[in-house]
Amino acid sequence: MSEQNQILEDLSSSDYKYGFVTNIEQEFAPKGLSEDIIRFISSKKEEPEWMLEWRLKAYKEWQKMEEPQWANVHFPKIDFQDIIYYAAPKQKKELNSLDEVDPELLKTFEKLGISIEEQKRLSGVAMDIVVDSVSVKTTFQKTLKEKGIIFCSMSDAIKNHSELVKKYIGTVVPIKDNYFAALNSAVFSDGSFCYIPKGVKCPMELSTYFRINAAGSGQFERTLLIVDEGGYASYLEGCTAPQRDENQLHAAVVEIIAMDDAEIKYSTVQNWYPGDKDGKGGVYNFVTKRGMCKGKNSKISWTQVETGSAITWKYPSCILAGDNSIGEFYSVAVTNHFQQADTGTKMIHIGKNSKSRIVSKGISIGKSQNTYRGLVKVHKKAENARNFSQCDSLLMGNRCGAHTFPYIEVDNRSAKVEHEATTSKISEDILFYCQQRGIDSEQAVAMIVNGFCKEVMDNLPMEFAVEARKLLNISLEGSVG
Amino acid sequence: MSTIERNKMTTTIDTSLYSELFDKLQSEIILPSNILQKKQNAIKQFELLGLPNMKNEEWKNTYLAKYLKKGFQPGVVKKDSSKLEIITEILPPLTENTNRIVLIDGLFSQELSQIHSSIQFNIFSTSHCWSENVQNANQLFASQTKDYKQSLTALNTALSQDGMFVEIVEGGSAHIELLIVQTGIDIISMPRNIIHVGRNAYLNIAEQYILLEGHSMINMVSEIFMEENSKIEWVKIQDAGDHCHQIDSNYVSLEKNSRYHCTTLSLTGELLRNQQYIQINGEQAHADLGGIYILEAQQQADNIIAISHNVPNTTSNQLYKGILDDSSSGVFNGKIIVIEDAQKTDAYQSNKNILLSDDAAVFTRPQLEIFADDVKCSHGATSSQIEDYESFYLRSRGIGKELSKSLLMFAFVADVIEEIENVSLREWVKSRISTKLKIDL
Repeated sequence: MSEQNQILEDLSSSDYKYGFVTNIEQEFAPKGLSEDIIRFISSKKEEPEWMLEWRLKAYKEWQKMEEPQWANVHFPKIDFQDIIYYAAPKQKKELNSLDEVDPELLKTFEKLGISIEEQKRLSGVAMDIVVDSVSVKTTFQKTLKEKGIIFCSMSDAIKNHSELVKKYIGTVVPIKDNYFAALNSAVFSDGSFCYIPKGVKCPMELSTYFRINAAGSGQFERTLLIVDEGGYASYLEGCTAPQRDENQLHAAVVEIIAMDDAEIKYSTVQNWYPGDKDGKGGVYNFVTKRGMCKGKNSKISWTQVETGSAITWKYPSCILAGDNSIGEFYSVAVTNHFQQADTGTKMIHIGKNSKSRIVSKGISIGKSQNTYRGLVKVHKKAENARNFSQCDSLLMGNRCGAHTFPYIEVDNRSAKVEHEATTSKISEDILFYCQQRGIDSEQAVAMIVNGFCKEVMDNLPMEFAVEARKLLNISLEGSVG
Repeated sequence: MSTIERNKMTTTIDTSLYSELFDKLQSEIILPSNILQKKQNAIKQFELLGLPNMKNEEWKNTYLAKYLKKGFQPGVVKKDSSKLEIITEILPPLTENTNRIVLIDGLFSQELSQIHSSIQFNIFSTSHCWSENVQNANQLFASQTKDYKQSLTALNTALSQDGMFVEIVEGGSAHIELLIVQTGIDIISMPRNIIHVGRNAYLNIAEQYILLEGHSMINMVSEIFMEENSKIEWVKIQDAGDHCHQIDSNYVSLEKNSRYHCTTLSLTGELLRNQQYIQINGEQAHADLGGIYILEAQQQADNIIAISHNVPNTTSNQLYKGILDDSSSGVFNGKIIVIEDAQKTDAYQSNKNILLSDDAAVFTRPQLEIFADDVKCSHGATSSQIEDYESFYLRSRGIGKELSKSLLMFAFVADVIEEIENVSLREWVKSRISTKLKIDL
């Protein structure tokens, strides 16, 4: 308990730990969005012709679309012409080792608690770090190369593995999929690309760290992850942004594809700046994440811990196309102050004997609104599909809200679908039980919340679990009494 | 469903017809000014909303236009006394102490209704209330429904010609048998009922539909007002053959300590849509909703529920069970809303389904919208088939294949039946279900 106490004490005084701006030289595109900007981004990244065409097509589609209104979130209209669509740390020359990375940038990562050097030595995590949409450095390239694994920034992949990118990009999230996916397809500036060849089990955790640094810039990264037959990959994603008054837009697209017998574990700890206590500022996190279990016996598992962002709007989904494929979704979403989260998942059962499991835990504190929205759809051909969903909400404070909108559509009689959800507050008798054993109320709440989220936390890789628990405790701070 | 298909399905039916009809109706029937005003507001609201289509979240899986295209139109229903004799013959025998109300094509039938004279209650036709200006009825008319953006309800408010008005005085009680008889006309009948249950009063209603011939569509709206300590038990049985289309909406407001219990049995009918919109406005009030749908062929049953807990210390319970065969489909759209400060709310919601065929489909959306923290709310939904081991258990004990299936189905829905407190209503439901499942209890 003393350790937990320490954590709480350390963090209870702080507001948002990652609210600092790094003064590294940056290169911007002019504000606004037009065909010229897209051409500018594309040429800046020395992209092949087909990529530019793809972007322009997406831009045209985007112009035809309307901003969706259905989500249970409220925010002023976004002015898409007031956003800088490209901001990169100025790169003077090719970098060969970490020593050549801007020392200011390295300091940034140390502040974030991810000293690249240390990570390299101790945990063996291969990292791709993305600052303001541009991948800065990918560590551990060589070790991965020996195994035949490609793990690099998206722009490198477009240049060096053009065929692979061309084959898979937009196959899981088509450019017309939704408003923000179309926008991303048009202007994405970087992201991570990973390809695991047949039969290769990736020996280390692959990790990307995103950070929005420049003011007034949006981050549009695109991640593409392909695991070929019999392969395995575990992918981690972490996000932070500096503290700013205006809202920053983050509209990412993540596509993952699992072939026969492949397994992918995708973990996210999202800690974008949530805005201050009065709901001013914060990041708009509108993300499209989708996985395709293309092959037989494939498995995709999403785990997410969402504590940041003024508005979160994302539904990591699984299309279970392969027979015997498995989709999993584990989520903890914590909202405090004026945060709003509308998150959940879609499990589309197409293959025979496909299975899915949804565990969603929502915690609303203060004046925040937390929504679970999910779909379980069993197609006619999905014999013996099986789904279990559980979404629990915990309310702390009498001005917050918790909402659940599950959609269940079953077209096959052999399917077994179960859904259950509960909403409640921390009950007095559990608190009393802790308190009479000498645990003060704040500690007791932290303990109960940790227990409430345990099932999800247990699914996070070690490195993330520690960070996620800390984040959870920060978000809880001041919520008792 | 592809986008093109969906767009086709959302094509709206011309609504100008409805507005014209309203003008016609208005010139024929003389209404008190406050009723006329309410009806005018309603037609304006309807013109704004239009007929519901599949873009509307509550109608996502229900293609209303498909049913309307069978030739149903709004119109002015005229009294037709030529069919009275045939109807009299098929009416079930009347039990003692029960008041019978018969609505023929949405019009209150004075001839066939049998109402005891009592100081405990007043029962009139809605048209009587309008022509005689019965104050209570006319004030209550549309006072709940006006706040909902429901286009079919607005249409009913505007076009309804008749219905029943039931008022139970303080401490009184009444048993009502409500028979909704459709003679098979193309006109959509739109009965409008107003029910006012006074303090400490009790009302039970056994409602069923009868279709003489042909097909029918009905869009019935009931507004129910429950005072302190009052209680309603209501059973609706929808079993009038495959050519029935019923849209039935209950709008209920509950005051302190009142209890509302409504059970719906959807057994046959092409479209059986039950909407329950409940406002719990008094502490310790409780709403209990049950539903059973056992469908086959192309039948569809929708259960749309919204329960709003507006004050602290209230409870609600929803239990819906469905068995779907052939190409039938079931839609459950249950919503629990707990507003800010409505602490100590206990609300439960459960929807369980059994699919018997490959073409049957179920769409369930149990929803929670919670704005208060000290609450206990939960929901559950399942879909499955009858397991082999379950029927094996019975068959290994010498029970035939068909019967074991029926027994399992009966057991599956039994807990909804057990919730009904009134013995005679419960037995009635039990017998209808066992007939449907062909088992002898």
